[in-house]
Amino acid sequence: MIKRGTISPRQIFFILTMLLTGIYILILPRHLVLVAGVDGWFVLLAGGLVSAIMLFFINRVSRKFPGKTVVEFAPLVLGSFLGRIFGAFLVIYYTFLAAVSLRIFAEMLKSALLPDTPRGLVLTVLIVLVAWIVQNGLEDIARFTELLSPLILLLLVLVLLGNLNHMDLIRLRPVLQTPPLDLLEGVISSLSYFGVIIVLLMLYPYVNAPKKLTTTSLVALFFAVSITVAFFLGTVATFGVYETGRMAWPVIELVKMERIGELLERLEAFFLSLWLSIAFINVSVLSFCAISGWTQLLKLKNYRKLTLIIMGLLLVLSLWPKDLLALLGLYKINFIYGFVVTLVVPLFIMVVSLFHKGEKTNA
Amino acid sequence: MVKKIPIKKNNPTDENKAKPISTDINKNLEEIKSIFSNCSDIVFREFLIGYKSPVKAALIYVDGLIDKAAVHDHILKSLTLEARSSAPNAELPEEDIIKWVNEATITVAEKKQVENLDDVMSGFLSGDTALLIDGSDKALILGTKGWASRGIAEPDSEVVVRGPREGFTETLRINTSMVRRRIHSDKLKIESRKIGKYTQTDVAVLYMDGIVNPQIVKEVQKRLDRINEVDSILETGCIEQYIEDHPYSPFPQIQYTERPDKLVAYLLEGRVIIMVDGSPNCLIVPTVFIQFLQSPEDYYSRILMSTVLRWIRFLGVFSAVTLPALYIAVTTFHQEMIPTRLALSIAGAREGVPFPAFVEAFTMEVSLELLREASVRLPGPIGSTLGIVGALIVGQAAVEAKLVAPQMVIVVAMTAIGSFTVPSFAASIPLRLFRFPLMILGAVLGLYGVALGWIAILIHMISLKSFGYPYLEPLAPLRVSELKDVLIRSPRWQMTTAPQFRSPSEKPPKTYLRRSYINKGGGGK
Repeated sequence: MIKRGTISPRQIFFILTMLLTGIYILILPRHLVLVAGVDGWFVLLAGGLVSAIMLFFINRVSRKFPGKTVVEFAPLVLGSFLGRIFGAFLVIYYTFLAAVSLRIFAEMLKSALLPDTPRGLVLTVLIVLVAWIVQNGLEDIARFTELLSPLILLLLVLVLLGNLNHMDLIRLRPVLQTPPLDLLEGVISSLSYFGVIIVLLMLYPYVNAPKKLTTTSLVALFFAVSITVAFFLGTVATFGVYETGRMAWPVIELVKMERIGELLERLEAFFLSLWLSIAFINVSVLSFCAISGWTQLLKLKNYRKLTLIIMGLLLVLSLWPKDLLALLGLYKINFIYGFVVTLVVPLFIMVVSLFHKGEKTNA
Repeated sequence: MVKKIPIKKNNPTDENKAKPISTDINKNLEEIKSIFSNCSDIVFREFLIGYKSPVKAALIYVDGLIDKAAVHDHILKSLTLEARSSAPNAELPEEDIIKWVNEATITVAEKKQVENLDDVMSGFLSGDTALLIDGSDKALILGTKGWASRGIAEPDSEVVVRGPREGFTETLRINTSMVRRRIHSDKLKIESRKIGKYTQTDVAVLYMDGIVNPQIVKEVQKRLDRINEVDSILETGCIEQYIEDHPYSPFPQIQYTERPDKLVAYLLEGRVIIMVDGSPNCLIVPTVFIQFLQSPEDYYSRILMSTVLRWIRFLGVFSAVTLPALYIAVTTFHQEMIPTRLALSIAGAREGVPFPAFVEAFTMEVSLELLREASVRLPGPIGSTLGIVGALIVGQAAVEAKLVAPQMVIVVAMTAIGSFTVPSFAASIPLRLFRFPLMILGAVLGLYGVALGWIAILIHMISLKSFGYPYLEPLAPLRVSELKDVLIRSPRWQMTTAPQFRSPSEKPPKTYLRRSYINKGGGGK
């Protein structure tokens, strides 16, 4: 088993920020524009607010069962059978998210960077590295995140700032003219986007100062929401609603327009290679959650045995969709599934935090 | 506080019980002579003490390891000539002769009474002189160490512009004296032990009591205890290999230095130093990677300059590892990144070069490594000739023969120069090695490959530990307060909270070292 209680709240902050701003930010502007038009930013804010409430419950319930992950304490609350199904539901979600993240990244690489390199190769190399760091444990993942996150955040800010001269605020109008139903749909889909925070349920027992986590995670969420909103606004202000909706990778297009004087242009290759570290962090954390989740579900002693199997599974899963369109279809499923997860989880959490007295009386 | 681990003596002959000294001196001499048969450097000097009823005595020493003047003037002369004038000794009972000699006659400062033959032998083998007296079952070991040693000179491998010009030598005592001269404090502890079945090498462990984390000292002692059985310790490198955490990693996890000022600075930071007799290099544990990019000079020269120099070194490291790979990746995969005019000029220069960029870079880098290795092995003046022949003539000819493009020569030269900016030779080796896999990745997967390569390097570095301390500290478990000695070199008066400065009051040890790495996981279950 991995040693528990070795991750600092600061590391969790970076992990959460990276997860929330991670891979999906590349598709998010397009997706939101299709659903909610110019008012995507509102949708994001609303989704962020709901997620904050959810986060509050996650923190509360996790602290009721100190030293236990959701997969371990769910059976205590819901009974063995139901609890395990619930656990499996979550773990499948993590696995699925990891696979989709991988594939989105690979797809983007293929379209922007390495058009002739087979996807399998690109993904295999990445998965080997992920397997390596997952074997080394969560502590290493956390350190890696901590090392690179400041650079990545700086990069994100630079991308936005670099495009300032292309932006026109007029493209952000009209404000809040979208029908409420569409807005609601948007909120729900953004909720599933921020729903990644439920990884916190798996990471909780590894944190050395759980009491600080409520603030930390809320700040991380706030950070991430600001970044996503900024990116959404930046993209729409640069390209306008219709153009953004038609682009496959609006953020990449944003980068493509930038240049550093006469020295370098078409920076998307550079950007993507750095973006790789975000993808890497995302996939590592998600696969760690998936693998340790499966381990606890199957009650195995050592999670390392499962790594190879899960990594193989991830490779197969991420190679499954035929092309970008199939992937985006899959992404929609992700939204639905994510929606269910984000709806079921808060519900479950609320029930527990209201009626269950916690670890000591039950276990 | 520090629990002292008893230092085990592992003399090869004391397996069962130490041999006692016989009261018959001839028997003792016979025994030692038979053990040291065919050892022409062992000198036995027999003489008589007193003149009424003279007592036979013998000196044993190793020729060349002793200070002859001391033996002549302070032992032989005292015992044979001056002893007669001091007091009539005929009335003395025989067993008191050794007491008399010990307390009143010998004029050597350092002496020790031993009670068995093994101590006698290890005593004179380490350069002291053994004095045996007939009729006594005790012997004296007299401190007469004095052998030819290299003078104190500036170490070639760690040159600074500003700073002391002293470097350690091959003699342990001289080295510890250089440290003691800089730290006049009772807190400086120098524990010593012998390691090596045959070499019986003196190994000293130095630390500042009260500053050091006692866990580290304990860990060092534990690891040194484990290697008691080895045959030989010839250099600190041998010890390093036995006690390091990850022997298969290309990264050095223990730093070594020849500079006393650097060593003292690390001692005051709360680190443990291991010194080995016979080597000017001293090991510093625990070591973090960033140490290799810091030079003692950084702390002596002006703040702004040191900060800029540090960044230059970071740049040097980055280019030493990545530059050729980046060049390959950009020219092969991502030509669109280069502005048109530059692209045209590169393409124009590459016109007629028959190889792909990867082959070009690879051969150039290999020949660079060849040159480097060749020039290390050659004596000084010839080495620089080789540099000129290799770099100028061969490089020029290769470009003119259209075997490589001139840009490639620039790139390769930059990587070499970059790797020279690393102050530590040991740390520049892994950087040189990683260049090759990165070049392959860059040739296969472009920039994506280069980034993957860097991720792999970072994964490896993050997983490393040096005596329980994370290797990328304070970057990877981020310690913001310590970054002021990493990203910049902040003024000394601001670094009072950095680990190299003790807190002003004499508090218990834990507060000095603000790092709790060794205890890490203490909160785990």
